[in-house]
Amino acid sequence: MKFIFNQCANMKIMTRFSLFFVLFLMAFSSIAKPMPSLSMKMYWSEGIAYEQPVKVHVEVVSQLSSDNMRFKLTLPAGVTLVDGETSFQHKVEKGQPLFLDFTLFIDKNAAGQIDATASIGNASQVFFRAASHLRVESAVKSQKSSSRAIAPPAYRHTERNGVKLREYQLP
Amino acid sequence: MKYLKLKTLKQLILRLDFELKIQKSKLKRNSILLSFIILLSACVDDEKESTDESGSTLKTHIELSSDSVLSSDSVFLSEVGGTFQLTATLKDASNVAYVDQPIFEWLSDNTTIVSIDQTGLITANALGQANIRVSGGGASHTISVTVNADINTLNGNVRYADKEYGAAGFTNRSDFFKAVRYAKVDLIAKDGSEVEQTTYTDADGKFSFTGVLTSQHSISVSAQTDESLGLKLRVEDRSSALYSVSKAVSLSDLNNFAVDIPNSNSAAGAFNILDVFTSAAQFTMAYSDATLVSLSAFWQPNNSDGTYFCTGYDSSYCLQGAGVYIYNSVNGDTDEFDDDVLYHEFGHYFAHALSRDDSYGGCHLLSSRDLDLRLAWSEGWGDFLPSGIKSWLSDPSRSHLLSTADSLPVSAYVDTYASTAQIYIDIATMSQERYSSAGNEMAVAKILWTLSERFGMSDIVTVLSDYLPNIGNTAVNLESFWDGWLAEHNPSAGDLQTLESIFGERLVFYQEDKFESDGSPNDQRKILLGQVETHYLYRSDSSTDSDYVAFDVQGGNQYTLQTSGLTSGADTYIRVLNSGANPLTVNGTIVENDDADENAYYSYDSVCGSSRIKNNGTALASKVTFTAPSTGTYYAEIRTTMDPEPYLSAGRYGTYDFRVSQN
Repeated sequence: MKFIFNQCANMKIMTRFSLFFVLFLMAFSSIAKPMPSLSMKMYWSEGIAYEQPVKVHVEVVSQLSSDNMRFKLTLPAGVTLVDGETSFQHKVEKGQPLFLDFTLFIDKNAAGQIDATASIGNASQVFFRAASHLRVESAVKSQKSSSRAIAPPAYRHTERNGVKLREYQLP
Repeated sequence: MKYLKLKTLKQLILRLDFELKIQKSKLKRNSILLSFIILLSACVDDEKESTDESGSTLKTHIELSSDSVLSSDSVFLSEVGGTFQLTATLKDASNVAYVDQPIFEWLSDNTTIVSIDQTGLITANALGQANIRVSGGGASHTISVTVNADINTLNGNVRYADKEYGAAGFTNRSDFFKAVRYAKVDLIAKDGSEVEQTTYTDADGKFSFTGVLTSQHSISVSAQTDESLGLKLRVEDRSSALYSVSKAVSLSDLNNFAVDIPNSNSAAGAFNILDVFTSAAQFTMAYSDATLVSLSAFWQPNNSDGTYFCTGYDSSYCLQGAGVYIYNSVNGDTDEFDDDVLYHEFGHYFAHALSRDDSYGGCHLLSSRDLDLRLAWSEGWGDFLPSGIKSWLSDPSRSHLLSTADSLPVSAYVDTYASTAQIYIDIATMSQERYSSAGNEMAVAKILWTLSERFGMSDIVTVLSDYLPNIGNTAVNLESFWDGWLAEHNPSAGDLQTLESIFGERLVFYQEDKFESDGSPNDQRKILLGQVETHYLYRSDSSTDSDYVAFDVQGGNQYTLQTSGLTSGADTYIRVLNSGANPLTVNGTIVENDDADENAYYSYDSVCGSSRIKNNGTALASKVTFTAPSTGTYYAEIRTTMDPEPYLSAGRYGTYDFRVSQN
């Protein structure tokens, strides 16, 4: 009986110790966890739209200054940058948000993911990296039944003698 | 999926059938098994074939197509030896193609005339007519093929469905078709990308092609006008693709080949934009020396930025460069059939290309009377031009080009929202109280309208094209237009009186006021304390107008001199002169003032939701307060500001009230 009691007491002690240990680890991890050195967020400035210019806003915050933060925007098929470059280097100041605004043109059939990455490093090694993504769903709703083809649009974009056309076929 | 199962069954049957032939010894046993499989599969496939997920019946049909646009039920070949490729597609009742297509069987009922192989390739063997039947997937379709070497001319006519509008908006008039004028027409052959011939429609929308014509040919009409006529106009979507329509050449109507673009087709809007700009361009060439009007329009559904004119590229709103960008918002407001809005934007093009426009753009309301004079002029010209063009179009030889209901005066401006008039205003009869001053765009429009009625459009265009582009640093506004009218037309005394009356009807007074003998202190009159006088800042000899007013003061008393109620862009300056007519100084400082509130002229506008320049009667007013050092008669000198950097938003002329008060 005493053995059993002792066993129980030991178990209580061990349980308390384990609980304390877990809490200690949690507290330690929260204190010791380093702040992210490079963070990024990206969002549609005015919501997503198709077949017209839309704006994307990117904010990059670095916990260290760098003259050569590398930025890259990877676009899926059907999404094009209206002007500017998708890849460049930019100066960042410690703690100062860097605001980047892009204007994109999204075809209504475009689907995929817009990836933005920022990194700080040297020629041989990346020290810090941050990434953000935006999903682009096709504006053309796919039909439920896989046996059905997608109904053709009222017009087609084509090119004739070097002239780009938005052509409507009349019956 | 449904047809896939049927096909699998057929393959299975064929495979089993083959096995049966080479394994006759197993015939009896396998035939029992085969019968069971066929029975079982057929039951399953019949059910799949005949119903969809909801249980409704599906009827399949075959649709024929070709590399080029194909007419409904006929193929036309003009020469023996010619070929034509047909393609069959099995579709369901909703006209949606099945993913898995059957193997089609092609058959000619007269191979002497026409033969066809099992890929659908037709070959013309002799002159005559034959029928081609294609079958597969349980459906069949027959098409007529004619081989005729005699028919080689196509006479066509292109029209689009316009929308008639009246005071309340669109009238829903049906069958309101207009000719597509001077538009590019291509004869397309073979794979749909080869242009064999190009021509342009005439003023009635007619065109003609001569040559070897086949059912492989189609007609493509583009929203692009004939540059050889001086009309370099085009309508593109937001991806810079030119609007166009295509239609297959039909055997039955080669002498009257109709290309009608119904209002259910979005292209009708593009061709209305082209038609409106064509009329505007013809008007421009009729009244100016212009021999080429070059303008692009950009229109596409879901453009919610508005309708506006860009002089060139910018990364915010003018991504496709110079041209008119046309509103087509998802909220229901579209402008492709709002002719007055399109004419208005053409007015901005006109001012940019043939005159000079100093407006910086921005928020402007029809009833605002305190606009930057440059903006009021630019928009006022744009507000007037629709009436000017429609008046020109109302000539019996051109009236068929109007889209207005008979009851709508040409002086009315209409902008629709979802078929209903959102803006309706008749500039010929609109309120004077609401629309007046050189800072009000509609007042500018009314003045131009009345001038066009009284003196003719040519006199207006002469000032715009010959005078305004050559005025150096002077801002383009209603004042410089007035100056230009005097310089270009040298009006008689009677005409000058008419001009003053036309401008004065909108409370714009470019004329000497009743106190105009006050041009120097020697001409002084005395004003009583508290009395308000209205003055015009204008001298008929074009010199700067300085008004002098005398007033009596008692030494030691404090007085305030101020201007107020400034209209038509007046920007005053006040200086006090002592009894010797010399500038009064108090504590070594000249008693003078330009703007009573230096920051007021650029202020927040709650309607626009942003700050904007205001010529609102107080922003550029002047005010001085001083204590008279001695008793006597003093003088107030009031004139247009001599600020070394005068606000170009304001004017050199204008109207102000003046008052002297004792504090």
